[in-house]
Amino acid sequence: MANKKKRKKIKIQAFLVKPFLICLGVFMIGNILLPTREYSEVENRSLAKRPRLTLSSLQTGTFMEQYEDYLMDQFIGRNLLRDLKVRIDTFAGNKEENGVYRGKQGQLMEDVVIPDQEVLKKNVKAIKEFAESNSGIPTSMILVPDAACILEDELPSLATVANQRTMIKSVKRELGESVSWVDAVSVLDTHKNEKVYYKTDHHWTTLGAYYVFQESGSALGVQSKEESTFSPYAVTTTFNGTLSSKSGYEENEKEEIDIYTPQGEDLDVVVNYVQEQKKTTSLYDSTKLDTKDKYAVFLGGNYSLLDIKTTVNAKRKLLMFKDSYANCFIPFLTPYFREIVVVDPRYYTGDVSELVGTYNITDCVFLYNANTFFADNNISGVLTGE
Amino acid sequence: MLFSSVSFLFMFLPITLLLYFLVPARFKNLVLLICSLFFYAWGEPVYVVLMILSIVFNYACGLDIGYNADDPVHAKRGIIFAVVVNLLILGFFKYYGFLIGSINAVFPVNIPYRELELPIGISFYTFQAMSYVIDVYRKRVRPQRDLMLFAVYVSMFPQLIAGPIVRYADIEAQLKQRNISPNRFGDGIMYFIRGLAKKVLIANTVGGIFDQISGMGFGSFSMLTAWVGCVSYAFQIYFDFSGYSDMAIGLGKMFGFDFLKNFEYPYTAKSITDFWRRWHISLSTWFREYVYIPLGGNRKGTKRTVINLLIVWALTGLWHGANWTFLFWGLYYGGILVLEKFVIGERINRLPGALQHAYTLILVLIGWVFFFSPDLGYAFRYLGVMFGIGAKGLADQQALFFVLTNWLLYLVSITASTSFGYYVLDRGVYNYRNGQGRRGVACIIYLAMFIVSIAFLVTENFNPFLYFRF
Amino acid sequence: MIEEKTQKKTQNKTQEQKKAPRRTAGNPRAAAAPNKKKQRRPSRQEWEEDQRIRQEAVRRRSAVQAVGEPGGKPQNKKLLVFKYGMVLAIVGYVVLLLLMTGGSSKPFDTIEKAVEKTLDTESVSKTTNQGLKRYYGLNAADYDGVMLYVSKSSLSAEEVLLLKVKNNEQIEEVQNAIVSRKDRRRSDFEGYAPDEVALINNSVLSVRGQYIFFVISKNASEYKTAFAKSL
Repeated sequence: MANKKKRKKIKIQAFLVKPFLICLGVFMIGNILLPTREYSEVENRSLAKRPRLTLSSLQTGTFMEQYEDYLMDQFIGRNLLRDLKVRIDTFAGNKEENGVYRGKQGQLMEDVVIPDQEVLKKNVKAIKEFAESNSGIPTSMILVPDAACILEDELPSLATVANQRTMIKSVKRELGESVSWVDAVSVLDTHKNEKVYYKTDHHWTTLGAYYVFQESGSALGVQSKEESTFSPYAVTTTFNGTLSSKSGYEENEKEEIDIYTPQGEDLDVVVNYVQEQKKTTSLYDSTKLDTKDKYAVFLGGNYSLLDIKTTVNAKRKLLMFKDSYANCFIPFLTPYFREIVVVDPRYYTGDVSELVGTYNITDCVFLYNANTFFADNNISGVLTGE
Repeated sequence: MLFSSVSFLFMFLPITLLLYFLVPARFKNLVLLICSLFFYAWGEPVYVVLMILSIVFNYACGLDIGYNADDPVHAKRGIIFAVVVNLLILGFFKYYGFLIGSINAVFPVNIPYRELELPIGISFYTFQAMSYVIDVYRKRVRPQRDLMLFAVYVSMFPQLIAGPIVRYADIEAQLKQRNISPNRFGDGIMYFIRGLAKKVLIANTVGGIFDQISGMGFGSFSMLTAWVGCVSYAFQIYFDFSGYSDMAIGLGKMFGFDFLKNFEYPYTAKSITDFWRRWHISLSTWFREYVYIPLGGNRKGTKRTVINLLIVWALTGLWHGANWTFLFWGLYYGGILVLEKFVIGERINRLPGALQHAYTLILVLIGWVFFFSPDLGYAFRYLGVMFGIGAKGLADQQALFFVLTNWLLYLVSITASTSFGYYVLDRGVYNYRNGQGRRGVACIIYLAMFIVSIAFLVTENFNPFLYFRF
Repeated sequence: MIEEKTQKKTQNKTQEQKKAPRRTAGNPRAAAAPNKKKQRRPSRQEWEEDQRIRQEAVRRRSAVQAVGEPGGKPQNKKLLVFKYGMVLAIVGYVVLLLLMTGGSSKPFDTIEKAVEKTLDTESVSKTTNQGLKRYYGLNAADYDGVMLYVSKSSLSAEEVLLLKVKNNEQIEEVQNAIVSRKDRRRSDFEGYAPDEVALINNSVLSVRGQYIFFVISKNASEYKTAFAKSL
């Protein structure tokens, strides 16, 4: 019996040789023959290209790392393989993939970021000092919570995330009297049963932005119009967002993106993309609706410096420091300001104090979503200019 | 280069296999050597020269000692010289920074120093070379006259970077003559795929859980979470390292080499003594052969045996890394082994099996806390949390979340840590009733494991191997 | 105890002796091989080996007569030289590595001051951290220390960057950024300022531990030496 087993055992082992070698060969040759892909729609990022061989990159081993990244990014069937992994993970009980929770009813939520205390202190201090040194310019701060905070009931059972409410409260405390604080948390809480966050994206919906805009009226010094004067239009119904790409969950879910246009008034705007030296006449970039990242329909995405001029009969000029959450918020502001200067500290490399002078800024607002704010380490550098 | 990387699996390996099997027999070793050097240079473009120099140096020492075979005085000089130089090289790269840092910490000085990065695998290949040189001195083997064969022994890529530590005596014959048959090759493939699956599917995943938990600040997680973290680490390091060893053994077989097993289901051990006969076998064998026995082993009375054991285990701990935690970890086990040998060993053996397993596992888990902690303070705090001090409650929702959303992972980990896991796999692949091997099923199972491993590998741009900088 | 030891030794010896004949006996290829060898010209290594064996045989013959002398037979000089030579090579190599690629535990400010002293501040001026973002696309807050000098004139490509990373994973991204910067500068000056293009092509990049030093300048090698010395 043992001999039989041994003999048969040998047969199995020898039998594996050909399939394994074929497998290796197929992948190897497949990878070599496959043309280099520049960009991955699914992952929404550009893929690594073949690295350049230089003496220094060879000596430090960087070339090998780059080559490995290149091979991984250009691997044949990468998207399929990724799908396979996510399916297996889900079968194994995973409710979280790559930092994204898949909640009940398929709501995707990003995990709450816990800030580096040192960096956070620096940022908050910089904001405070900026507000205080520009005391003639009323400054407001709108810190928007993320879906995992407001929609905590949707989180998968037993999932625990950090308490973003307390983190936001402590920022408010730190800033004290130097800024006008807008409480976005309670507003969104009140409306949490409506669709204020996208299901597959980390952004808030335009509806969510609208509610917070109404709340921010007193801080910003604007009389917000009644809801009836803004009407929503769906610009697309096939939106699949960043969280879906990041996690691999819900890739078949299609959502709607709305824009709110003021009824009746005819508002002309000129949007000047300062660094790119491009000007457009609309706050919306409809060409983005044909790409994967449809949220970029708002302002075309994130740019270092935007100068938005309106035809409104107003004298105020707003300076805004923001992340991508503000992109769908800005259209609500346009009826009230002559000019809105939009700065994204992740890309802006100029001198902020010059901006205040050059554009004759009268108001200032910081609009961030909590995760980006707590993960950021650009703000203090840009504000203090060092 | 890592085994679990695309460049290895789909560039290096197919090409090396192709070259190796195309080339006539007398060039096979040369091909293996060149590919191995390329493999090492890929990970260490600058230090490959150091390894080559070390190989040539040890080759010369081997010849020298062999030449002085009947001249004990010169032979002894030769061996001492060889060992000292090897240890100095290893010591310089690995422990220099640690030493000066410690001096700076203890004494009121601040000696600046230039640090060099630790070359990959230096602990492994230095120990292998020393095993050769010492065995030549002991006349267990004859000095290898062919530099190329000796270089192949030290540098061959399956075991170069992360072991097992292959002793020259075990492999001497295979260097010149080895059998490469489809059976062996297939066996190698099976080992390799099992190792790859262990590393990519289990170790990396469970390691992710550990990283999450260890990233949490003290006071924010519960006792249960601390245990989950520790257990996750225990699984990670086992599957990481044994997976890598399996891949090494598998690759060795593909090229005709038979390496000795490095792990034997350590988490099924019944005592710490038993554990160390099952964990990183090649390392404990090395230390026993080349440190413990020369020091006198257990032949010079109890007191001396205890001292010898403690020395050996302090060194074993330090071998793993230049940090006080590793020294502590080594001495921790040294102490327990001394106790087991002289005091409580008998009593442990008489305990019922379940208690023996529990005793062993708890001690092992505590040991791992020192292994993964960046410093002793962290280690003691973490241990505190594990036993209720400074924890956020006994068990909380978060701990349950970790366990329940990874139920399959933990189930597989537990099963695969025991021989039952292998039995399950074996059962699928063989029909036990009539001894027939199920070829198709085996093929499907193994290829499926391979492809799933590739899927996990490709989607992770993060692929660390814990024993790497050794 | 001693008896056990010697028993073991003899056991080992006999095992070895047993091993040897088995190897050649069961190995027809090895038996056939020597004939093959004689037919082709011996390689240099084999020749050296033959020489060694011959020398050894000679010495052994003379040693038989000298047995009983304290100190035993004379050393094989060649092997000794070889051995010590290798050790010297290793030491030399390590020293070379330390000098040329070793990092440093000195703080950023010390190195920065040392380098700044040697810079010709007529032609370059220090930027703020925003400069790093503007020119290299890197966020200064990510790193342990940044010093960037760019040329005052737009007709010059002169530039000095000193950067300390927080961990080794960042080295790759910094190197990528430097390469992109070089490319952009090259295309800026291509066609109308060949001297500057030459400077860019001869730029110096030095990665020492966690310090990265990049210079485009006619004084590049001096600055590099100052940097290396300061480590």
